[in-house]
Amino acid sequence: MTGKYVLEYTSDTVSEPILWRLAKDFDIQVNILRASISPGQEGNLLVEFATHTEDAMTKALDWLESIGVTCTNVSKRLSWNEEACVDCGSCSGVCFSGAITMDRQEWKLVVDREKCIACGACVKACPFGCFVLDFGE
Amino acid sequence: METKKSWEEINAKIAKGTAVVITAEEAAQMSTHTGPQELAKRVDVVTTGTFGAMCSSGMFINFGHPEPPIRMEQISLDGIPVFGGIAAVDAYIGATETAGVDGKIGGAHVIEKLIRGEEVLLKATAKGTDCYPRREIETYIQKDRVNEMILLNPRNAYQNYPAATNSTHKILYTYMGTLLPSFLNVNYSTSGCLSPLLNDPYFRTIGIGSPVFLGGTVGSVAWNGTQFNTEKPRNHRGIPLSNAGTLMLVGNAKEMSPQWIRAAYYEKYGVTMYVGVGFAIPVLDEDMAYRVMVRNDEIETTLCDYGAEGHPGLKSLHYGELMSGTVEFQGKKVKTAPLSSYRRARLLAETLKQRVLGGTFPLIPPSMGLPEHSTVQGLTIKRKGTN
Repeated sequence: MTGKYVLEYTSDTVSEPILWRLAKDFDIQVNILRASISPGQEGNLLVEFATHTEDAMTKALDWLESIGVTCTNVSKRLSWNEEACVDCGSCSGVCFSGAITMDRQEWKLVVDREKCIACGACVKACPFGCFVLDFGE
Repeated sequence: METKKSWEEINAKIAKGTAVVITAEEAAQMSTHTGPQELAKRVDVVTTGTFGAMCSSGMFINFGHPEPPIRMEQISLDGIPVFGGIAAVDAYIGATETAGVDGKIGGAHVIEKLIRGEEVLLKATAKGTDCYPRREIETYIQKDRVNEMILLNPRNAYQNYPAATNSTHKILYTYMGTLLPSFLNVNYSTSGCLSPLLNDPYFRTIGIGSPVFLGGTVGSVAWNGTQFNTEKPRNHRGIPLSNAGTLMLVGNAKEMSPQWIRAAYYEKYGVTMYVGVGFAIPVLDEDMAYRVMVRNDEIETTLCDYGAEGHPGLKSLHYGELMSGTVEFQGKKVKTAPLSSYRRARLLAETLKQRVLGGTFPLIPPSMGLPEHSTVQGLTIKRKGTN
């Protein structure tokens, strides 16, 4: 199974090489999609975790929480105000993860938050401010 | 014998309940199995629609006179400056006007709020005159407490518009949306076969005085729009290959709906307003039938590079390609995205169809035609008196 998470931590709480521990001790395949790390201050990583079992994923996430790393599922990061959306589709051209597409029969916007990689392009492309992405910014 | 129908005959059929009204998209679909001759016989009216960003928009407002009266000079609504250089309590709210460094909220938001029936803070100052002694005022205005709210948009409903891409190595934020570097995406505007002025490319039925679906109510074509251009090259179908005709539209904003008037903000460009515009086109003869049957693959536009000076044209594309989601450019498949809502355009044309059938949207011939020849000039920088 796979899942995309935003990991947030500060240097006060976390001093461990967390990605190395995840791979070595928890058998998690880590794919870093976006990273913002200020040395000695804080880390903000967008990662994709892949494991063989749900149990392994749960254990890894529990361990991260126990050492002070906040893990948020990325699909929870993107919010779309569907009521304010006019289905213009301006956002669909800048989304390369496949999270935002146009249904070209109905000309309706389709948002699949599971595919979102939190790049933030849609936030700027939407003329009506329908997307909000909370990525520690 | 060729079918010919007068405006009066079509109106009589509407009144009798025997008129056939379809949308321009349905007319385009019919073109695959029907000719203009047949369509002219079977269909009386074709409805069009578009819902997109139209920067050149604004609203006149008359606040009413307070006691003692004021000749308002500097005026703001919710902090947005509005034009007060007309009579005492008249003002014009420009859709793109903003205030402050952020500039994400502007005149369009004020217009939308007023249309929604929300209260807006009016502040005005004046020097005070013998007849208008008051020097300042601060009050909350609302739709039902002002005399008139008249939307008057100097340039709407562009007849076609170029598609945009970006050759540079950085993201461009433009009025054509976010343009990713190195030709990574293409944005286009207009609603293709539903677009009003693409269904009457030579303005045979649309002219000064024509009724228009504007923001949800019945407005009128006030004049040709600014930058009206009849001289753009056309394809075999009579469709201009880039931005050509425009309309100045006017209507009672008190009757408009936030469904069809929406404030918008384009990143690092500014505030604009989405306006719903549509026309009901009478199928007077085979020529009009031929016009309203235009399909997306027969409407071409020019792909322009917004990363280069003067936005040079790169290639010609048709709306069939643009609306498919990808176009081919330099041997690669490039993602396309619309800026205007095709879904809303469809809904608008459908709404208009019902109103025509119900007799609540009038079919009236123009009182005057739009200019037959008009070109657009640039602005030259010169010293007084030189050529």
